[in-house]
Parts: sequence; C-alpha cells; structure tokens
Amino acid sequence: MYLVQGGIFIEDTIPIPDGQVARKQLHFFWLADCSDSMRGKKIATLNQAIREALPEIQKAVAAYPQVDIRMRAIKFSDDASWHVGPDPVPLNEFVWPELETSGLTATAKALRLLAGELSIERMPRRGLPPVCILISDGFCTDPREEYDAAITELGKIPWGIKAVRLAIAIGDESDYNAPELLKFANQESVGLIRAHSPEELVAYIKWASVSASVASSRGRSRGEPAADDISNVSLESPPQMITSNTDLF
Amino acid sequence: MPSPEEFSCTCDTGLGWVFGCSRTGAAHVRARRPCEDSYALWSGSAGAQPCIAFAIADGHGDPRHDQSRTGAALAVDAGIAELVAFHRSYADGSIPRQQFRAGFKTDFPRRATRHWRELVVQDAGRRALPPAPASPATGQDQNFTRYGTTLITALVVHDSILVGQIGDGDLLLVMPDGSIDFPLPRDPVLAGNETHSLSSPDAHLLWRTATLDRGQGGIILAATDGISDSFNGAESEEFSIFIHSLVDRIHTYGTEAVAAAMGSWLDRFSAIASGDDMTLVWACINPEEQPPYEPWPKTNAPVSAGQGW
Repeated sequence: MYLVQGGIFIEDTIPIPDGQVARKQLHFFWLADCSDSMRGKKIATLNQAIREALPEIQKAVAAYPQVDIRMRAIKFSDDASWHVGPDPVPLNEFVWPELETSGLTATAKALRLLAGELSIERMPRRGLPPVCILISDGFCTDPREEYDAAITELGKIPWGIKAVRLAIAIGDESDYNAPELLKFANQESVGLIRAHSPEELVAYIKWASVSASVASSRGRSRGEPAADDISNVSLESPPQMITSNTDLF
Repeated sequence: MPSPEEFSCTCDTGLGWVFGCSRTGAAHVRARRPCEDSYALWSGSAGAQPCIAFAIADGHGDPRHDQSRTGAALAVDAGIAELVAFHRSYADGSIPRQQFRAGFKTDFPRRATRHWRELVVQDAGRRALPPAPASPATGQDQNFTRYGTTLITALVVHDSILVGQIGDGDLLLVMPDGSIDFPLPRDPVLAGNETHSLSSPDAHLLWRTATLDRGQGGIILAATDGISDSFNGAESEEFSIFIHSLVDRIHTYGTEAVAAAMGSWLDRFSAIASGDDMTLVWACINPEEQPPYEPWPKTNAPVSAGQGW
C-alpha cells in the first residue's frame, strides 16, 4: 500500500478488471469475376494483384492498431459462391487461392450474397465501414431487374450504405457495362476505375484496397451523416496511370 | 472541465458517491488530437433535499464537427445546470413523485437541448467564429453541427434515479444482487460509429429517458462508447464480464483505490482496443432509507452494515 493525495491509502496492485478486449472490426469483401471472358492474362493478373495487395494493406493499416481487418472473397461466374468464406479471415491469415475461370457473369447473385452478409444481424454493431471491391470485365448476365434489385438492396441496408464500395472494370470499354458497374460504386470522386492493362489492374487493385482500408480505419464522421452524403467515408481520386499501349488486355 | 489526467469525485450527500475519469484515446494521442470527451459531477441540495447529478459527453471529433470538444464541455455544463434546476423546481416536496418523473421525461430533453444551444451561440459569438451558412437540407445554422456531441445525464434524489441520453455511449445500473440493467432503450437504427447528436435539428426528440426507483441502491455507470467498443459492444458477454469485474474491484479495494487506478486501465483499453477517448463515471448509490418520521411500521428489513455502497 502507499499514500496518495488526500491522505487516502490505496492498493498499488489492483488487478485490471476482467473481460477480453477486442479491436474494431473492418470487414473487407472482394467480389471477383471469374467468368470465361476473364480467362488468361486477366485472371492471372487479378490473382497476382490481390496477393501483392495483401501485405500492402497490412503495412498501411499498421498505423491503426485498433483495427482488425477481416477479409472474405466472393467469386462469380454462372453462380456466385464463396471463394474465401463465409467465415471472415483475419488479414494476416488470409490467403488468396488461385481463381479459375468458366461460365457467365452472375454479378447480381454476387451482390445478393454480399448484401446478406452486410445485414445488421451479420455485422458487428460497432464495426468500421466495410470495404467492398468489385472486379469485372463484362456485362452482368443475370436479368437486369435482378441486378437493379440487388443494388437497391445494398442501398437500403445501413452497412451497405456505409460501406466503401469500389468497382474496377477490366479491359476495353466496349467489353463491360460501365453504367452497370458504376451503380455499385459509391465514391463520387473515384467513379469507375478502369484498368486497360495488366500494369493498371495491379496498380488499381493495390490502390483501391489500401486506400479504402485506410479511409475506413480512419473513419470520418460520428454525427449523423449530412444530407448529401453517399457514404460515411470518402476517398480521393485514384492516381493517374501512365501505361504503355503495347500491353493492353 | 476536469483534466483528462485526473479523476474527480463528489462528496457523500447521504445518497452516495460519484467518481469520474476521462482519458485521451490512443488514436488521438498518435494523431496529436485532444480528448473530445467531457464529464461533470455535482452534489448538493435544494430545499434540504440532497441530489447528485452527473453528465458525460462525447464530441463527434471530425472536420465537420471541429468545435466538438467545446461542444462536449458545454453539453455537460448544460446538462448539470438543467438537472439541478429541475431538482430545485420540485424540491419543496409538494409535487407527487409520478408528476416529478413525468416532468423529467417531457421537459428535461427540451430544456437541456435548448440550454446547450444557448451556450453554443454564446461561445461562437465570444470567439467570433465566422457565421456558418444554413444547411441546405435542414435550414439549420451549421455552427451547431460544428459543436456536435452526445450527452448522457443522471440525477439521483432521495427516492428516484432519472436518466437521459442522446447519442451513443452506455448507461447501466448494477443492482446489489449483481444483475445489470440497461434502463434506456437501445437505438436500433444506428450502425457503426454513427450517432444521434445534440446538434441535430430535432435533437429534443432524439433523447431516451428513464426513471428508476432508488430502492436498494447499486452502482450506476455511464461511459462513452470507447469503453464498450473495447469489449465488442455493450451487448457482448465480455462487456458484462468487465462490468461485473469492475464492481467486484470496487467492493474489494474501495472506490478511491479504483478511481486512482482507473486512468491507467482506460489507457490500456484504448491502446490495445478501440483507440478512442474514454470517459467513465460511476456512482455508488446508497439504499433508499425509510423516512424517520414514518408513522407506520417499516415493512422492509433494515439495511445491515456493509450492505450499502
């Protein structure tokens, strides 16, 4: 025992109260197109880029030790299913399995699967805004109404609104449906990210995943969102890429 | 505004003791930002009726709410002033208890919100903050938004405990039998770090209030959200374990000793968990005593020594 101010004797060895402390969870979702049109250079670059992005995300969020990133991945072709999941994996344990290509482009089904995971019941009440990155090179082959309904659902659920949602389009602009992919994205200053070459795809996957993770970790506003807010977190525009014209998708 | 480096307590009025501790969050320390929480404790009497009042506030703390540290300090000032004024207005004992409690629910949110807004206007004028344009969506003076903050308040009087809250944070009562009661309903629509605010145009409608019997007493805890976030939320089992363990430390080591240790505990939670500012106020409420002039025999068993808080 020792003496403190006011003549009060106190124990100097009071054990800290029990209870397992927990960091704030940030749920990160990849939505990767593995339809037949992604065959070859596109899917190989996507696999490589995501693997290279993982340590960069870890490095970037090291400045936010209170953040616990949990990652999952949805793949979609004829249908949508978990590539990694449904249980979220801590970032430092996350491994990207090789993604194979086949079939069509069931983007709407992937968005439905995502929306289910972003429901209030499935997400931690006090988590950070989720990060959702959609990567595709084609038109959604699900009925258009199904795609629009999935987007509407994402726009209704609180975590769908709060999420940092980015879309990366791969290849020539005539090959993918830009307005459709843009409906998924909710970062006005970023818009649709267009990767014309493997070099750009690698750079943009890294930029998008790192920037979104850092922005979500930092958070933005605790008060009620302003009326013109689209998301709870805002990103800067992506960097301009200078790329060679000889190695396009 | 108490220094975040110290704890405060207020004296025994016969009702109990109240202690508070506020610490700058680890993330704020790293970013060289100040603590944006605030708390205030008050004890005294009006018309020979003692009361304890306390308030804690959590400024929103981002560029849109750049005056929220001051907003939080003004909120606890406004909250305490209105709690004490409310107590005084009913302290002559001529108002029935039900009316006293109903008055708290209907009047206090409006009065506390209005008082805070008056203090904000005065502060903005005194510091010559440039006038902010009205929000196009709400038409509200956006200076209120700049001072955005939450507020939790509690008033303990001879037979009642009156609590009110706008925004996030936690207020709970640990009963003498160890059970934990969250007297205020949860806000079901808010997710993540979003919270209601005193700066909302309809703030007086966003308060949640509750009135409780002082009864057998207990420990009331009010905390900014950084604490429950460190245990995965107030609904989590780990937060419940923490609360029970904290109450056990109070019983085992005494309130002063726990108060002295609290700062380092909060620093630790912030460093390894949420990173947020952390403020905790706890009030050890004595059991309600029967009035000595009561003409009929007491039906409750007398409180034995050591049973009080």
